[in-house]
Amino acid sequence: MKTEVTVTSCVPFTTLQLDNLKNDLNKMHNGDFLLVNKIDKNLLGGFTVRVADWFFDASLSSQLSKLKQTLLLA
Amino acid sequence: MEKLGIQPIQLLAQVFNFLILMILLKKYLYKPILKMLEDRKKQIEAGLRNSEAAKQELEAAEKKKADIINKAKLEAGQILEEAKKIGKKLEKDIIEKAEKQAVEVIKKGKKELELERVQMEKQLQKQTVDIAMAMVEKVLQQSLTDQDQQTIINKKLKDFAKLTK
Repeated sequence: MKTEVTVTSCVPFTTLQLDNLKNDLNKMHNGDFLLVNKIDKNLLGGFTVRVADWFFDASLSSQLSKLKQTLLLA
Repeated sequence: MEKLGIQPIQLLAQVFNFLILMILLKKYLYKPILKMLEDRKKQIEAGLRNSEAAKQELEAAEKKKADIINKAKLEAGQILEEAKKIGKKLEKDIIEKAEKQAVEVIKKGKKELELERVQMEKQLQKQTVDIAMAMVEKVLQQSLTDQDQQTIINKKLKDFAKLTK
């Protein structure tokens, strides 16, 4: 049974990008994954990946949020 | 004596009468008067003695009164002096306490001002950062093309791939 992976981005992933990500996920978690690409303009750029409880955030909104925290703590 | 007009019998009678008068006077007049005078003298002497004693008592009382007044004056002076000392000490204590309180108030005021300044700075910093972030988000939303988005995704995928190695 394939494990569903939610990939969220501002613009749709290309097939190549999805394949590359699937390969990397296999290396990391060693499983059979079904990638579902969702669009969310609030990410501003980049993407996020969720596999069950595991979450990876490579979005620009996340980067901006970290930058904001850094500036506020400065 | 007859030549001088003096009758002996008459003279003798007069002497006798005089003697009787003297005896009667002595018995009924002189003795009571003398006794009364003696009593009066004794009364006066007693009165004088009493008067002297009263005078002495009065003098003693006056002296005692003067002593009490002097002692009271002395004690009053000591009390006044003590009160002045206590008053000065109280004054000093009150001034010291007031100065200490004033220092505390100033210190507290400075601390509150500093706290307020820091809070205002933080608030201003937060507002500035919020505005800057909102501007960046707006710029990113408006300026990034689909091609740019793809470039960013490719860059992030490369970073992700590095994590798996």
